[in-house]
Amino acid sequence: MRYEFILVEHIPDVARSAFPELEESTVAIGTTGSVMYGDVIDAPHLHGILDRFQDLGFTLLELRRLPD
Amino acid sequence: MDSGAVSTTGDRADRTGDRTGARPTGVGRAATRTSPKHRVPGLTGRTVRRSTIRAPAPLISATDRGAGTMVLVAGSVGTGKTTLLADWAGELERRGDLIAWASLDREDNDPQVMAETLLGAVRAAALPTAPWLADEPDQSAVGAVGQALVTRLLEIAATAARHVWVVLDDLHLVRDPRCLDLVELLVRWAPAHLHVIIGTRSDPGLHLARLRLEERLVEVREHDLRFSLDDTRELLSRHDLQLEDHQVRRLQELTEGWAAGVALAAVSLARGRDVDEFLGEFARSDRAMSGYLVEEVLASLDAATRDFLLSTSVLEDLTADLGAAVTGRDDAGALLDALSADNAMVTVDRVGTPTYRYHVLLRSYLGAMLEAGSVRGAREVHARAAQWYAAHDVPGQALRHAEAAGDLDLMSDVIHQHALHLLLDGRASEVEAAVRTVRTDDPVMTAVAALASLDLSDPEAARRQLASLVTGPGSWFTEPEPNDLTGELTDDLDVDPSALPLERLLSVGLRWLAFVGKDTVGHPDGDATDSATDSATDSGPTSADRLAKGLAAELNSTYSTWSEGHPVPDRAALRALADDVRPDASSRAHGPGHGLAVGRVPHAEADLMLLDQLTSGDVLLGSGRFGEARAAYASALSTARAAGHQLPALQAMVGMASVAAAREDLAEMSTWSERVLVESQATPWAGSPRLLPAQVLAGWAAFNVLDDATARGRNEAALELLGVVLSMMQEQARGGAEAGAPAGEMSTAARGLEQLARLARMLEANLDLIEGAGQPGVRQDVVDRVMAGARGVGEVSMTSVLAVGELSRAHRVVLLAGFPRLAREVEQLCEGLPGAAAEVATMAAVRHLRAGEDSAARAAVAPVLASGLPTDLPTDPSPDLKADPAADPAHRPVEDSVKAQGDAAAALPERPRLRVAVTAHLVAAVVAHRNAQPTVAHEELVAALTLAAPERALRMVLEVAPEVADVLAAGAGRFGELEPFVGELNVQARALADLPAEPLLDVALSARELSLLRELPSLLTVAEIAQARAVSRNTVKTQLRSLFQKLGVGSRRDAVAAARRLGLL
Repeated sequence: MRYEFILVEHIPDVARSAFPELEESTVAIGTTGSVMYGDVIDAPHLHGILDRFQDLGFTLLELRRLPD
Repeated sequence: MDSGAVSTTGDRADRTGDRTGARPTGVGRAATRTSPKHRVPGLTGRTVRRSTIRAPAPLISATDRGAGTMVLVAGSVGTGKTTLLADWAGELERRGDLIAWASLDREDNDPQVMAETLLGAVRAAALPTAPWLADEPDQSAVGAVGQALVTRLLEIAATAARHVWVVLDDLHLVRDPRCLDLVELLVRWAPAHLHVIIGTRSDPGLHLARLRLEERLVEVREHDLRFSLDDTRELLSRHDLQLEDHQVRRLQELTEGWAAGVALAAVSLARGRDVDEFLGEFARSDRAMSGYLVEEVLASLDAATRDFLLSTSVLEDLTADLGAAVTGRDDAGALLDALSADNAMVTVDRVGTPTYRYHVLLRSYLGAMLEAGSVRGAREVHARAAQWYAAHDVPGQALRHAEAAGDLDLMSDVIHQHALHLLLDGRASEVEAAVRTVRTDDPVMTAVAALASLDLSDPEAARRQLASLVTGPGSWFTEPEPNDLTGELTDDLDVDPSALPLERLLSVGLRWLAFVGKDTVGHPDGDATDSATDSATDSGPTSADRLAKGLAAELNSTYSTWSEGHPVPDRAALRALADDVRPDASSRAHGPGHGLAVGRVPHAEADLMLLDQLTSGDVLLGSGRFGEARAAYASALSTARAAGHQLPALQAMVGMASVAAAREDLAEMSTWSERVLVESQATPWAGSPRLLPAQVLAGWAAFNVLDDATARGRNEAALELLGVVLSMMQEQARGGAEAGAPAGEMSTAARGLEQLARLARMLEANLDLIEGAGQPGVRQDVVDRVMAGARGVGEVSMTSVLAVGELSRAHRVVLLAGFPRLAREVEQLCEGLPGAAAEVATMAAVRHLRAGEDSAARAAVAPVLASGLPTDLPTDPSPDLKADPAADPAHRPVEDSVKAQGDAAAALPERPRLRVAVTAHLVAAVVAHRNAQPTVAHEELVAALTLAAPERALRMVLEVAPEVADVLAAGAGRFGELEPFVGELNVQARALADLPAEPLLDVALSARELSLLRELPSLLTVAEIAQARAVSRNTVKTQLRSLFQKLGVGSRRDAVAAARRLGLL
């Protein structure tokens, strides 16, 4: 399953390493936000990623499953 | 253990029986019984063995690296994680491995609680193979954070000498990064025989990628957890259902192998639903699978049972009694029993009072239905639960449910009734949060919040809260009643006895603040003038002013309360008190929810009295009023015992030990401090910073009776804990507003900590010296440390009593290490201190005695002996060495009160300075012995032993000089009732390897070399030195070479340094 996460904030480089399984889209959303996408194994993995967003203080704007 | 609870799987039942049967069940060890949290959940006969997912084995790739294996079981709700883990646990134990199980819950989202949980799990696992753990107080670990804790965990695990699997179920409930750090550290450092299994609904923020890379990770993920066709078939058969193959396949498809789905379907089918009809409706339903299935199950129940489930769904753990109280049904127990017997969604823990728990999925649905049905209904249930918990003295749960009920009045009631109880049980943070939620301007609430802040070491917040109270209308400060503190409520008989009287809350708060807060508690005089100019519009005095006045009044009345009419209990009475451990006191559960069975009447009044006595003891001890402090702590202890409060009882005993130490009452000091260690072990308070004094003093107690190994163990634990506490305090100080606050601004509590640290370091120095006696390097190092401490005595604010004690200890170490010159320096440091004359004389006498200067030794102790027994140093609370009390207005209230109460305090009989007296007599005895005066020697020895025997002061007697043993031998058989003590001394004297007082230089320096050495620190050149001595330059150079050689150095600078180290300069 591939998922796309749209965040309100732009993820700084220092925080990128917290998401080794995700890639960042180069297409900018608005002026600041980040778009991350990548393979998600299952529900616990998905919730783990969401937890990490929260721990780092990012605001999740949108989340959707991408067609495989 | 009711093994009937666990039905068909025989091996499981046996195993469960084993686990509990092996535990000691005596009263004293009640707390070591495994808590429900550390028990592997029981499996029922309906559990499916997942043949496709076998219990993990240590990965070879990890073992090769000398590292443990980590297993991650990640799956959504209802995928059967806990069941799988429990099943694995059984399999692993059959393999001979040990299981350290922890069912995590929301409470573990706190580093302290998490640390206790981890420790509890590993200890419980290691206990069967290492039974001594039960007797070994875990001093270092609880209360330790981070690395210290993990180190201790690894140590305990290592004692097992088997594979240990730490199972952390429901880790997703723990989100605090500090808690996860603990797990991270544990995983990172796990040696090859320690493995971690994690069950979670969301991937933990551990470095999974790295573990994968290191090939240390086994992952069991959602798709692995799916029920296979065989699993589905087996589960159905365990519900005695025989389905056609195509039906099983259909069910498997519809549930997508979701374990809870299959189980729920099985429950519905077992209640007689037609299979094809059920499957058809299931397939057509457009609701979420879980919702459909739960509704199906609920529909199969009768209405009464459904209602019961609904209204009890707000409770995580349920007993029959609580269920009855919340629903009003007398048959709650039978109902729960029936539910747990045939419904996979209700489980029961039958160790102790049966506790029932609903499957989280069922609970979530029931909770949602309850809310949807009527919010009022849910609130009512919460309110009833809150009342039940309040009545059963589980105030933590009571508060939580009162909050959920949205009933602020109820919360406020609970706070009024139980806040002190919670405080005394060390749960100030819950009180603080609750008061913040209620947010009233009720002054009692504010006072309670202030007490909570004080307990949470936030004196600034407490000061604000108390200040806001005293500026309120009708403040009590205008008429302070000095005698309203004795704990009797005689004059207010019409008042609700369970309500908290504001005045007494305030007075406890102020007293506590005086002890914990910074010394600069507002400046009564300075502020008064300031405020007069500052706030011309404000007619009343400022809050700081009033607060300071209140503080002064409070201290005054504390002193007067305890100096009059409080008989100090004698030792026999105190011993009885110490042993009066009520069974229910030690077994009282600390986790909320597990102590349901104990019903006690709320005792707000007793709680307040207890706080009152404890804080009084602290303040009195802090101001050097030892007799009164002892009486206060003794009262606190008996109150705490009567009320079954564990932590305050321990704190009172810590106080007793501290007072005894201050009074040089060695026997009492060891009784109380050791008592604390014994009683605190296996409680959450073992190793708590609150009990630190007992740890340090217990180390000294062992040292005093020459039990060096025990002393070392206790002292190391104490030092480790001290390190943690001191670093925490430094962090707090950094966070504080004033960076670089002068040392004089240390709070009384901080000064106490500093004193403890000094005591522990001194003991460490003593022990290092004994162990490294043969090595000059060790001696040198020990003496350097001790001298640095001794020279620093003048730098920190310390009362003269404490300073003299510290210097006296330093003197003994330095002298024992063979540095008489430095010992002389310590004497000089001591000379200026008030009341230290006898102490200094005795120090000098011992130094002379060791140097063989008999007449000088004799002369030094003569005045001490002539004056009869020297009395205690003045119990003047104020004279700090550095801070001039008169210059610091904060001291004034104390001082004033001292003057007012001075006579009363002075009239109290004080104990003689034990060590001075014993040592003086022994010096006289040894001198007489050396000079062939056996009668005098014996008399003096007996005089010394008469004083030392009741305190069992073995080391104090033997360390004066090696010849003490000879005098003892000479008087053999003539000691009468002192014989047992003498016998003990003789045994120890033989074992005690006295340090030879050999010079540290292999070759002694000549007189010329010595005098030349004294010139070296100057700036004189060799030529100038030669000129001053009227010798040739070459002569000086030759002498220098010889000097350097003897000192083992190569340069003038090194020679000076070496000479300073040796005490030659």
